Amino acid sequence: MVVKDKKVGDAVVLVVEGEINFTSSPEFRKGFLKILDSKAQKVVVNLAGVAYVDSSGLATLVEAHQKIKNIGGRLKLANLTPKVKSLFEITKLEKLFEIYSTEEDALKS
Amino acid sequence: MKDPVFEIPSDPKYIRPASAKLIRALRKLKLGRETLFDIRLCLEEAVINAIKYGNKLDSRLPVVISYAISDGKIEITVRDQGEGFDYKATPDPRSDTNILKHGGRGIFLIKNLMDEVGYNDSGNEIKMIKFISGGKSHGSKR
Repeated sequence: MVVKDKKVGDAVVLVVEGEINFTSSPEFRKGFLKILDSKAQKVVVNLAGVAYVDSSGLATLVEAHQKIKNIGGRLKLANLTPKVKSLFEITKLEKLFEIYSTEEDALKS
Repeated sequence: MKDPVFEIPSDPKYIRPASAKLIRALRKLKLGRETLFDIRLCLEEAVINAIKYGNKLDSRLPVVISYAISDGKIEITVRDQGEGFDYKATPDPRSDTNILKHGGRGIFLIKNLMDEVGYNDSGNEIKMIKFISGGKSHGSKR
């Protein structure tokens, strides 16, 4: 898995490529902890390149959401593939997260 | 014919090779990508639970995986060497009290994406069934 970050206006976009699963979740966690250190208040995670997320990946995204919320920030998810989105629906995490169809929509909101 | 059986050590690096092996074996069935996603996810979730909670990450202990394809369904079992767990007491990860918790979604996903899920009496073996043709739900339930 590859996690890249870019600054867009007042937001930071994390672009993830690969899978967020039991073995790769620590790598994703490292990526967002770096963002937290930069005190970013608006974080968008672009998941267009993520075709597979397991329960460990979902848990890591919940952790990221809470950590950013605790410092007064907002975490938004964008570009979820249909199958990954269905996992958020099944687990009702769609109610916890702000989910957008595109990165642009997430940045505008 | 005896169902194919294979073992992996309780080390997370063997999770992906185990699911890849099963998916390869299912290739001849020409299943859709969504069905293959569900089967892969459920197998990996069951194997993660077996490695982490059943065998407590002791790489000397095997996780035993078997599968059978018959009568329009795929049956997959995953067994660990642990004492089992009370599968009837798994909490609902969607509830307000659990939604932020780290664990509990793996079993929940398995129950939602598979058509039938059962355990042996001691709770250290899970059996998952996916209907692939003429089945009752094809895993489309929520």
